[in-house]
Amino acid sequence: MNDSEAGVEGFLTGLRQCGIDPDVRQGVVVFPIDAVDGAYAGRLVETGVSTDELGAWPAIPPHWVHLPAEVQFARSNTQASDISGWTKHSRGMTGWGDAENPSQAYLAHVRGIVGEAA
Amino acid sequence: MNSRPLSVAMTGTTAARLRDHLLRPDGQEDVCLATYRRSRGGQRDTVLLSELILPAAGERSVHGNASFTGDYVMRATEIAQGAEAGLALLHSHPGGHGWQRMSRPDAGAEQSFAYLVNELTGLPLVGMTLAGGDEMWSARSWSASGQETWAESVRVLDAHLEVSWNDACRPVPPARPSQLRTISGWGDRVQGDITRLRVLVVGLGSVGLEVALRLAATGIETVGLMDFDTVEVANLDRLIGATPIDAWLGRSKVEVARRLVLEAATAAAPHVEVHDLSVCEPAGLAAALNYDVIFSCVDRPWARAVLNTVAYSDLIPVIDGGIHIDPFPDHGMRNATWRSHVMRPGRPCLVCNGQLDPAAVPLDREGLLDDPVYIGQSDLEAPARQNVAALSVSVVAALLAQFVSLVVAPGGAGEPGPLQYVLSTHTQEQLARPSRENCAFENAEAFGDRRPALTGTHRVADSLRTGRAERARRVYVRLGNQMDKALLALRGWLIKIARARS
Repeated sequence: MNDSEAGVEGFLTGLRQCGIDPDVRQGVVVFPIDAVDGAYAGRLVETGVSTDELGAWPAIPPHWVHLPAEVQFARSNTQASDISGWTKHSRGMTGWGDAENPSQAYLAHVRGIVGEAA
Repeated sequence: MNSRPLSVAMTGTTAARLRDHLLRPDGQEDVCLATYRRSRGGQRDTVLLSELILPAAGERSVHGNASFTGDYVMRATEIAQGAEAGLALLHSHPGGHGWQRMSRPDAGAEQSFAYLVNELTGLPLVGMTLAGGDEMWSARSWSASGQETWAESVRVLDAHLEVSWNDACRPVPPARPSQLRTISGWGDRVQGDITRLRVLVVGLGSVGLEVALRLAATGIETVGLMDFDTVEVANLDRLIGATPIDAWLGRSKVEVARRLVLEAATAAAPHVEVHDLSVCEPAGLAAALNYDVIFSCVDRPWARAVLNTVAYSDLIPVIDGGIHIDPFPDHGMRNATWRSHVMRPGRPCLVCNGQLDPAAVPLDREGLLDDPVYIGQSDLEAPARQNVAALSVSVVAALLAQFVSLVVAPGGAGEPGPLQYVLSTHTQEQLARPSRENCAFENAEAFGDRRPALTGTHRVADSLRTGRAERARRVYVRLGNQMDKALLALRGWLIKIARARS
């Protein structure tokens, strides 16, 4: 790892290397993912991560997953997102830090979450 | 850099490569260049050697002394610029012993490149000398105008932390009669080396306070104490030496620990630095970067993550450990285990060692691990609170044994790697925990100020400090403090007399 792969810039670079074009909106990195499972399977869903949570990326993964309010779950610990009309969902992860490509590992984590949406 | 204290640090791997290059079989001097990153503490600057740039054919010539071309310096400077790093010029004195001063030609060679390197990298040129006789390092930095600032130490971090001291900046503390038995255990030279280390204890609970007392009793001159917590009645079974008066007056743990550490100190001029901070706060991290060795006596994920970063990014060894008590659900104890380990390049970090879950760090940072509503909704378990006063001293012993192995290397062996003691069977095991190839903590080696950014506002620390300040204004607290401090001052005066006469 070199230091250009770390922090907010590192997170953005990692997404671009995965073919995703992120945007920073109201302090949140917003990017689309293609849902592969659940109610949104086959659709692009916008999701986001607060830049405040990316200072130690990839050593420390972000916790909150920001999603448009219409993406609902049967059960979720939530808070208001910095983006109006969005909600941030509390989602932990296990075994973080083993992946060769942390961006791909994080995208898989978010896809899994979106796959649980009702 | 300016007149702030300066230190240089490198890994054992870097030091070995430099020795291989600079200490030639034919006994002639040699020279090379390296990039460095800066680690800026609250009071001290540290230069962290990162990438060695060995001379290519024709870039230097060896003729008893060693000389090098301007092209070599320019090539290395471009590498440093690309890495946004500084540049160090290193040479050897094959027959030298101890901290090396500069001959006029050596000083002239370094000085002549000082301005150019400053202009191109934005950082001072650092000069270093390796004495071949005893493999001691010396170092200085050069301002753009050619003014030199001598470093106070050069630290080589391996299983054995070897420090080359500049006696002019950091003199050997005088031996005291109260240290005779300690000195007889390892000799004057070792005592002189380790008592000059700046050692920080982060977390002043049952383990941290006892560690700090033992360090001061050993004769270490500069002991740092960091904690933001307040002494409460519930702490008195573990904070040996804290009194009901301390809890009643709501004193900070650092204030109480300072009093106890000063009484235990055997150094002629003990210097106890208190930091009423969390290491997670920017000021707490800046304070931590002033030290040579850190004890991690904290159990919260955020603080442990910050210390995990410092061990690799800033090349400050962090001695960590803890106890796990496993009670039966009804009554009795199934088992207890305690661990100890040194975090440093070459040893697994806390995450690789299975002692830190990185996913818990954001939760701790937001205070959610203390929020019963959040914990209930998330199906998380609240942090374990079991602690047994009679066993915490075992963790203290384990951490201090790691410390002695790290700084003294008994029998030539340094710190042993992660250890675990199992109480039920009374066995100690060496834990084989490999580093993960993609570990973002370990791969940030010698990043210095570009370390992963983990610090921020610590709401609990802010709240506790505010609470203490408000409480200190109450009449009974002011009166109690005045009476107790008068008694303590009298006791301190008697201790001074006793020390002067013994």
